[in-house]
Amino acid sequence: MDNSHLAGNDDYIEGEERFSQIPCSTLEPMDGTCHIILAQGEGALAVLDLAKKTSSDFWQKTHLAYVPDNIEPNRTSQLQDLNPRWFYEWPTLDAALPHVREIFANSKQGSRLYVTGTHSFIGIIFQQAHNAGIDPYEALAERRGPKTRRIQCVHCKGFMDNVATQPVTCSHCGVLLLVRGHYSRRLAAYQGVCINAEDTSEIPETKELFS
Amino acid sequence: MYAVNLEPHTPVKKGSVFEFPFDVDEHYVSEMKDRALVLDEDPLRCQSLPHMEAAGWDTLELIMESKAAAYPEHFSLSKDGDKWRWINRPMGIDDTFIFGNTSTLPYGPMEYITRQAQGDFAVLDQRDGNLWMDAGIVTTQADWSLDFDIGMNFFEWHAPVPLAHELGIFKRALKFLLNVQHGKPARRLNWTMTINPRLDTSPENYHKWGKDRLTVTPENVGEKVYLRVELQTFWRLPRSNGLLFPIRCYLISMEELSSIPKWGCRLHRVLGSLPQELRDYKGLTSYIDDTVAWLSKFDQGQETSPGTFPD
Ligand code: HEM
Repeated sequence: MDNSHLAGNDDYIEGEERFSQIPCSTLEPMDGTCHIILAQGEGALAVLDLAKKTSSDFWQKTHLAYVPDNIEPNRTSQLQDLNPRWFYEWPTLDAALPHVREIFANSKQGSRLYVTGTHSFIGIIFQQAHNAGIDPYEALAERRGPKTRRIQCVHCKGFMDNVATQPVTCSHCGVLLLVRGHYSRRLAAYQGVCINAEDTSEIPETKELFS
Repeated sequence: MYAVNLEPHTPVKKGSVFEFPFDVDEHYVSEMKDRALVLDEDPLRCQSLPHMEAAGWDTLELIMESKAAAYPEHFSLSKDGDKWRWINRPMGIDDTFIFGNTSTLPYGPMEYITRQAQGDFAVLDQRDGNLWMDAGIVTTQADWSLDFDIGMNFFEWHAPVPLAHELGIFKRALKFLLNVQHGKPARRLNWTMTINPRLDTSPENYHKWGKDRLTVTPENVGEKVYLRVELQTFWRLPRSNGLLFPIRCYLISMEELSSIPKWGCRLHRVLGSLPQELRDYKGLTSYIDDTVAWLSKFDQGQETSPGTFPD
């Protein structure tokens, strides 16, 4: 069966309006009483680009958090040079989550959220923001870094992060999965569904589709 | 091709599936057993986000009142203030509970009543000018996952459907649904095909039923290939202002379908002219050619009578 139309493409999330469960665009300064900026890996560059468009009082009311995720080169000092009112550095997304939840829980009305990094990172942060009741219309996201996807296997419900290939073998149940374009904000994941259910002896060629 | 095929859900023709608001047929008890088995295996098929409790009670009330009125020999509902007694004779149920008090029922209100109602159900919350799939019970579906789609809005859960977005169908359909009034339900039909009379064609189990599609041969189309018609209805819920969306699935084999010559002829034309995108989306690609060939003997280019009923 030709499933290519289900696989979506790179623009699936970032382009067409109808699919824009997480509308990724370019970070732009928004009017707000407080700014929360969360940058992972190469997202640091998006923050530096944002800084070219901001006034200096912008940074007086800004929380800037950097999650380097072992991605070189480290941009800590460049980000610190922006002089945000609060600067944090957390090594990985997992380590960042408790802090992020705390920031979201204490955020006031009028706060604006900026998220940049891989699509997985953006998805998980938006999931947390949603759980904290933050209105998605007061948030902007910009993808930087590889286009890898976080997926959920629809059969066993296990999650896999940083999926670069189409198809991919589920690391939990072993089913060979088609990575669909269908995305759940609640789960922060694309759907993975068996690619060769009709004939399991048919093994499609593996392609690096999301790198 | 897709269209915004919506009409009032008013009674049509005695004995048809449109006679009563909620059709109960000879498969009732076995379909309810099938639902219970699927839920035993996979409880995620029934979910309700916390704010959907009121809509659950609305759903329970609507189904109980409709069924008791339509089929008094099978269902009875009596009320003494908040104390309700519900009797479902085919399933051997006689329960008394306090309306609005979930601890007096064995399940949440939506799950309780939809374990006693054929078809899948999605319960939509209406807010921000959109509908949100925030509760449902889905065990007889045409290849979509409630567990994945729960919490999505109208455009998000419809995202995988090809062509219809570009035609503006979903924008118009949503506008219509947002305005459905209490007491004035609407309906539409949707269709796909299934191999063998299997109700649970879920993505969760696709790796188990997908292989059935390759068992179709030119000789066995009549008994293997089924048309799957969904009668979808839309009900405004009075207290929660939610929308109830029952999806009632009917399966008929090509053999039985073509015993009505008009149906054999019509399906031959529909399948023969189906765009490739829809063949793929509906999962027909591997067996549609055999099916069209099998049906061709019913299509001599004749004119068919209007409407869907047999002549
Ligand atoms: C609020 C009620 C509705 C719900 C909960 C609902 C739900 C769904 C779901 C879950 C799917 C499957 C998508 C997938 O592939 O994952 C679907 C398909 C579809 N829906 Fe809806 N829907 C609703 C109302 C409507 C309305 C009013 C229309 C009117 C045009 C419509 C048109 C369609 C079409 C054309 C498809 C593709 C079906 C096929 O070709 O087999 N839906 N719907």
